[in-house]
Amino acid sequence: MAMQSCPRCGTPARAGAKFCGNCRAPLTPAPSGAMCPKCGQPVRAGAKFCSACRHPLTPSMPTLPSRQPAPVADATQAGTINWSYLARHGLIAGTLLLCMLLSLSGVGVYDVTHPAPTATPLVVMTPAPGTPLPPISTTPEVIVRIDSIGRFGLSTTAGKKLTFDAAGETNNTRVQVDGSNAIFGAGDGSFTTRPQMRGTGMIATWSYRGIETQQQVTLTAGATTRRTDTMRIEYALTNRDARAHQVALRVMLDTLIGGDDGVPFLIAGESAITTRAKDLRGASVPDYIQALEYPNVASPGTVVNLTMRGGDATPPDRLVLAYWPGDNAEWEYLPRVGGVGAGWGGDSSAGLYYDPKPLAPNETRTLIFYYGLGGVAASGKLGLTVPLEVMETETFTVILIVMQPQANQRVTLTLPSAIAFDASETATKNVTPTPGASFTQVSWKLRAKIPTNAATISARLDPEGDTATQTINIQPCGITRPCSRAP
Amino acid sequence: MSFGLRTFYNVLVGAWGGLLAWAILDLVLRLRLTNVWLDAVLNGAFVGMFIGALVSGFAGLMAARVFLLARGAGIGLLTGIVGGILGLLAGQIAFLIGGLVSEDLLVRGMFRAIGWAIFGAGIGVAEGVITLSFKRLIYGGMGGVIGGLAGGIIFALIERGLNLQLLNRALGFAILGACIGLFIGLIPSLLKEAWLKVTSSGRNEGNQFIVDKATTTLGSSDRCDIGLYGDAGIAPKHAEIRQEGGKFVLHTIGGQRVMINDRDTTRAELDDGTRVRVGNTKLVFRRRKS
Repeated sequence: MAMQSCPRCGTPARAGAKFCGNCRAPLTPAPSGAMCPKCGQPVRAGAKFCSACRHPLTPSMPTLPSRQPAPVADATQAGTINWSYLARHGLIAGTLLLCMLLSLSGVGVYDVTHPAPTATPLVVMTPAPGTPLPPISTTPEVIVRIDSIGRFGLSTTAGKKLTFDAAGETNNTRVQVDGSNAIFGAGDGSFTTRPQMRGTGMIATWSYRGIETQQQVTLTAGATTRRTDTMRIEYALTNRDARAHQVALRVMLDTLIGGDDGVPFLIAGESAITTRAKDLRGASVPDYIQALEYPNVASPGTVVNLTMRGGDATPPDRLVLAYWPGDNAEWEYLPRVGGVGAGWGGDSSAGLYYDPKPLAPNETRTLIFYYGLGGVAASGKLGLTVPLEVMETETFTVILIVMQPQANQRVTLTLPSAIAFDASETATKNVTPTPGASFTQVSWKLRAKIPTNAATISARLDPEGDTATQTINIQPCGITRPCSRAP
Repeated sequence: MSFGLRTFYNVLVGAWGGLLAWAILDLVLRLRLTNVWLDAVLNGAFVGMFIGALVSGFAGLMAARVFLLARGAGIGLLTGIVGGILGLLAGQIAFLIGGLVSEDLLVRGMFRAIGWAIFGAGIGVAEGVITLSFKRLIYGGMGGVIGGLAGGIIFALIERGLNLQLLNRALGFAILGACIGLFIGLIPSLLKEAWLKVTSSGRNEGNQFIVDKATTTLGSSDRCDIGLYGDAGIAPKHAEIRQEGGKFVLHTIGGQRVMINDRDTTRAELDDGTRVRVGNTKLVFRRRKS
């Protein structure tokens, strides 16, 4: 009877019917090419019997030659591996992966072998207001010398010394472990790496009471000059012992400019020049101190900067400016050389103290500061020192030197919109002459707000009207740029 | 390609997209924009463009179909640019908000990862736009969000841990691309309900196709959802699989024939394990047990 069903509504249809009895859809056999092996009439796909002669239909019924399915190979027979498929994708994926790893390794090798200028560009003579800064000059303008136990000294390529001894014989660094201390490279410690050149700098590693101290002195760009004229001094103190230790470090530099061993210091953040011993702690430690060879901003000779803040510098917990305490000065020498307020006569020194901190096994404490040439933007009686490159959000200090200061003078700092005064700073400040000195200083703490490559800071002296300007870069930090400079 | 292989390739080409974008940005253009918003737009557009175009165009490239390559790369490029710019602008806002919470760069970097998540979503939705499948739009977007978030967090960790000028960003973008590629491949494949797999050898060998639309078309045309190429026995529009009341039913188009479980037919319900033969290509239908 009814072996066919309607393709539209599925209602069984009478054999031989042309239309569905339910929905009137035409019941023409599909042009599938399948046909009844007995009567040759086309049959519906999937039918078990021929609708014309009721001959049973098997799944292996003949079809039109063009519809004859050819035998098809299965991709994977049980137990066999399709080598060509594997080889094709292996080759493509392998090439992509290998090239990726090679490219990244190439970039990494380039990075390691081409260190970026390790600049904390902080201040020389200013370009015209609003013009971009010149690129950093990579010609070395200073020479670092190191002695057999790792003391280091600095002089200019022109032969002017910036430490009393060009090889640093009158400086010393002391490492303190659990209250005991020794001079780096001497005492009962021992070298694991003797002082030697490595890359662009000098390296020395010395172990004392379980603490390994690595001293690295490299040449870099000066923050206020953008020239290769500054030493970057890095100490990495690593606890190689199985238990924790209290570890501290003190560096004493016998500062000097040319022939003058006792120049006054300009301290960023202070309101006058410094000629007497100071003991500055914590937040009172300035961003940098500066010294001029000649007390004349128009022709200052060599300018020296000791930078302790900004970039990757680690501010010391204490800065002692005092009379030079001797080659092998003890840890705490200030009382012996007269204490705070004592004059330093013709021989000044700077002591950077990094207080004791617990160091767990294998923990490393890294301490960094910079010593080298500085730059001053001068005009008339004013000399302006500004870090030439700062990061967005960074706070920094500018120093203004005023020559032949008078008590009735005022100085006013004018800032572009990209820079703001730090809290509690005022734009205009009174000039305070230092008795017996031909110049004095005023300084401001500022905050970089908006990235720009030409932020011009200008300082005016009233009532004279002298104006000094300096242009600086403010680097952006944001979605894809880190907010701190790479060391 | 099988879902696993496709995901594997996604990781590779996603990483390549990030690396190429980095090479253009940092080696060729070398712009150092002082405006962070412009910087975000530039970085977002380039990185989004490259990762999007490569991830979406790669299947067409492997199938050697010019139309598929052009359509995939084109749509991937557009959604990549849009997602990239929106994502990085949002990331910049999140980064600034992060700055209010903490000065720590790692914390701010975690906030920035929110932006990378939006960025990833832009690349992830491309597949849904290409196939006009809402489900794949959602699943791809989800994959992009997870991938962008994971990549963004790794980016922040790299920024914190590595101090190399070039490698930092090169590696960061490559890993970001790899993460987005991984999850864009993984999420739709994990959440799929029904799919077809080619079991015969030849040009389509090993290929897997998600069946998730109300009507999924099958044929030798590039415009079919399931494209089976290089088989003379398959018509340009050979059949379609319709979802009818929770069932998947295959209907041939224009009187074409298919063999379902070795039986010649024009219409059949598909179940898990159903063998389908179209022309000389054998497939098996798989359905997740609910």
